[in-house]
Amino acid sequence: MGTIYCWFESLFGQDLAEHLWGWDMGTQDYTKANQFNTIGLYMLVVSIFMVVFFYYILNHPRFNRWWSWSLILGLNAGLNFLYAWLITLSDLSNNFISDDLVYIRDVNTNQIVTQKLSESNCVYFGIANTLIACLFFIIFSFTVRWWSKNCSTCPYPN
Amino acid sequence: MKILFWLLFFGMIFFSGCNGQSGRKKPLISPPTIITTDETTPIPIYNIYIENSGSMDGYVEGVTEFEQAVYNFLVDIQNNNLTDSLNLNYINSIIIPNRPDVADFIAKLEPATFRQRGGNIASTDISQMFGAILKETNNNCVSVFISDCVFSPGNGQDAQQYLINQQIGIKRNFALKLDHNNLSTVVLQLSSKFNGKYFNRLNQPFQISAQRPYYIWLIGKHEFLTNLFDKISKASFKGGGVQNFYCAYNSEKSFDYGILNFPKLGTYERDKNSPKNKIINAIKSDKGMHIGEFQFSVGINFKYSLFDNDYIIDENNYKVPDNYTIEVVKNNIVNSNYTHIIKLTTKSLKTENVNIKLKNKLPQWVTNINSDDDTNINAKGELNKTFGIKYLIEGIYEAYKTKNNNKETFFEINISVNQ
Repeated sequence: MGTIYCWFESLFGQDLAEHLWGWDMGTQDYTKANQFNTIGLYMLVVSIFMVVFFYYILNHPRFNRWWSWSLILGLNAGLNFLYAWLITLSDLSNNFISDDLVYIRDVNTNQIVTQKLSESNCVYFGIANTLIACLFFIIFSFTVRWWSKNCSTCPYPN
Repeated sequence: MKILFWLLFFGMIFFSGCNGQSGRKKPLISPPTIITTDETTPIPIYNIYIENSGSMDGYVEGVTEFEQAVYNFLVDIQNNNLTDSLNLNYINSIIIPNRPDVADFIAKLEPATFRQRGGNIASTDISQMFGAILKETNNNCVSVFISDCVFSPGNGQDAQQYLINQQIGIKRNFALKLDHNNLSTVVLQLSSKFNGKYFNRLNQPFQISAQRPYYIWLIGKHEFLTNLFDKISKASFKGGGVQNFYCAYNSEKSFDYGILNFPKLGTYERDKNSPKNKIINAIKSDKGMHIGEFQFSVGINFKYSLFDNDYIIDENNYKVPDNYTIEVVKNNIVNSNYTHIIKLTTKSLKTENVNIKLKNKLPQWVTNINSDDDTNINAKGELNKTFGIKYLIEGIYEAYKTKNNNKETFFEINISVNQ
């Protein structure tokens, strides 16, 4: 899953990507958990659930409209944004991200020269996760809608 | 249509990639064998040898920095539990044991005591002294030899030939020892007030009162010496402190290193499979005053190397590809694994293996402090020098170099740079 998230690395930054890959300053290797897989799995599960919910649980003629579908798409996007944003923000706030990814320090004095990684990177990662979630929602929609009794022509007729 | 979407879905999952990587796999390149201290290092015996020939009288006349430094060093060895057994000896033509009472030993560091202890104090055969010390040195002890290391060819001898013969003798003694024992050798150069007779290469006495260099040699297993300097820093030596330092050891060791994400110019990523030694997606800087340049940094841990910091940060001691320049700085970043950072910069970035070698050569201070002719010790600059010291240290250097298959380098590392 990390490879898919890498499409948006320029959005949320290489340093946050390194953290999510599992970079550990202590071992100088990727020895921490690969969070791309965790976040990606959550994104897939939520997206599939939202699709199944719309087409097979909700499954009502009243909702066989493109805007109903869009609402569910938006809800899926929102949930995935929140999850990705809060996970990374929590890591940043609790100093779980390796110091060498967050700051550039002066090698002589150990003083912070620049902060490379901030809350905005977490927001952008949330946006990246949202975009990927939307993509999978659309793909799942067009793969499973065919058997829906009342919503198979949503968001548009075949 | 359905099939198309399923194909698209699985295609995205399995065939996409922004850098051809798919998560962590087994590293392609095995990491080097790392040099560290072993927390279970056994405690060695410490054998102390202080030269008591006549040339040393001036260092022990009254209270001098020499006595302060030696006393403090011996006390530090005991206080840091570096040994359970500290043996104190004088040495000239023979080794003369003394009772193991450090305070008493130091209190009796006087010219009169030196003469009382016996042996041939009239001349100094450094090769013979090292031979005697090496004979008593094994893998379970550390030998500490304290001397002015001034050769005494005497009148009528060809000084140059004498020095060469001494050098060959020292080289032979060390080479024979290294065949059976894996020992490192460290020399610290300090300075002390000297008030007494200085005997030049013709054995002519000169009454002087001046600062003169002297040397503390340590010979023992590398782990023992790194453990010593881990607990007794060079900065803690009394009496003016350590002014120069050199270490010779078996170079078949390597040091923990890894690619850092800063300092840098341009951009790059660490390969997920080989983050310590492979760079991918390297791109030159495209803005600012460093436009067109590419720089990457490698952190390296010299903590247990016994290399002198001045030697480490001197870029003349490194060999790198012609299209790269090198800069080495001490790393004071807290929580970093590395003591130093090697910065490599190029204006012609290309995909290649960047080979970095630390040369095995004598430090410049050895040449600077060496005297080839001390006939007139009062000549300008001679008081701060030691007659023939270069031959002594070169003899040891060559013995170790021979033992290390005549390697020109202490170590080398390879960083794969890929665009």
